[in-house]
Amino acid sequence: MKICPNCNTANVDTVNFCTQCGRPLGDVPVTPQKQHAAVGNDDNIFALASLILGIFSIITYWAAYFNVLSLLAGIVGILLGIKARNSILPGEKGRGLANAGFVCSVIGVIFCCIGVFTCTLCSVCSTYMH
Amino acid sequence: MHPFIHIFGKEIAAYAVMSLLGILACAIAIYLLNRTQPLRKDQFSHIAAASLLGLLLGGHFLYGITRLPDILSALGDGQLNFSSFHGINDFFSLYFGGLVYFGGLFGALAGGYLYCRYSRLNTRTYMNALAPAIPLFHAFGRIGCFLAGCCYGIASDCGFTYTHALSEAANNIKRFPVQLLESLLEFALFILLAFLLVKFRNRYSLVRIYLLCYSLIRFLDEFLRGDEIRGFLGPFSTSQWISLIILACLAFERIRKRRKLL
Repeated sequence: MKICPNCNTANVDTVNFCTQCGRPLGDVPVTPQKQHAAVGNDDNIFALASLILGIFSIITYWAAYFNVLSLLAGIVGILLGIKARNSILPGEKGRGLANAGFVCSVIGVIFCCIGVFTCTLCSVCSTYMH
Repeated sequence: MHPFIHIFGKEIAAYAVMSLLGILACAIAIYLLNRTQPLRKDQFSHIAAASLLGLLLGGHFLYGITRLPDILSALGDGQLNFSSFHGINDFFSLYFGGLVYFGGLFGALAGGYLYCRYSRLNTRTYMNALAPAIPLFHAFGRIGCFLAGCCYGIASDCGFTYTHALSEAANNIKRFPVQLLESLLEFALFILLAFLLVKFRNRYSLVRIYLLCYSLIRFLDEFLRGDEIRGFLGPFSTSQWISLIILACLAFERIRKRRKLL
């Protein structure tokens, strides 16, 4: 991978400009990554898990009796999605999966918060709950 | 006023709509303010997600603490049911269901800060880049408060009368729209932070400036608030005490810094 000297982002070897800040990378040496297989990268599992958990939390956020579980699923989905996005660089296989998992998990957590807890920003409203 | 908004025949809580609009506005604002900077923009969404998790943890946890007397008395009465999943779910919904703003705020700041440390990002740079989103989102949230009828103001001659407020105590009295006042001040605070970010980038800690201004705003507008259901400790409400504590901590830190430089 090539590390951009301007913004410190890791880029894949094949790009000529940094994907974050646009600085030309012609003069940047290729640094070998610790472990990497293009197919079967371990972190693709995190990306997939993140997507599954995210979709689960979106689908079940309205369920009256176990939406705390949906919230937990969404939270774990976010954490796994962050981990997957950090290790899978833009341009590698699995990046799209990681992005989808992260986004679905965030949406799931937000839906769970709005769905479970009537009022998201104020403690007074929950006195209304009983 | 309008606790529910009707879109395509479905009834959605106005609060939820304003929160989502707020998130959209924050995303657009942060993108525009940092467009020209060589920052790792892929990390912005990670910092935001970590802040969201921190907000949930901090806000709900602090709310649970304010409900501690109720929890302990229910524990003593044997009313808590942990044997079934339903019982556990109900426990969390009832005693941790609400949010306290300051708990959420500090949880969010802690979450974002810890994520920056974990990812070895420069905390001043990245926290500054995202700081203007805090008052912007809060401003939208306050409009949601106004529409829903919570966090309402004191009875006054100039104002609005609720008939279907989320808190029943607010109804049928003409009330000053303190939520709109706070929303306006937060928009102004957003403009201030955005200007400082674009002009001076990292010279000031925008989070500190936000805490300073917001504590002042909160302390003053609590006098205009009409909901006495929340806790009062002596002459001030709990939010006012927290605001004073924050101001004291900021002053303390500033004095310590001056002493070190001399």
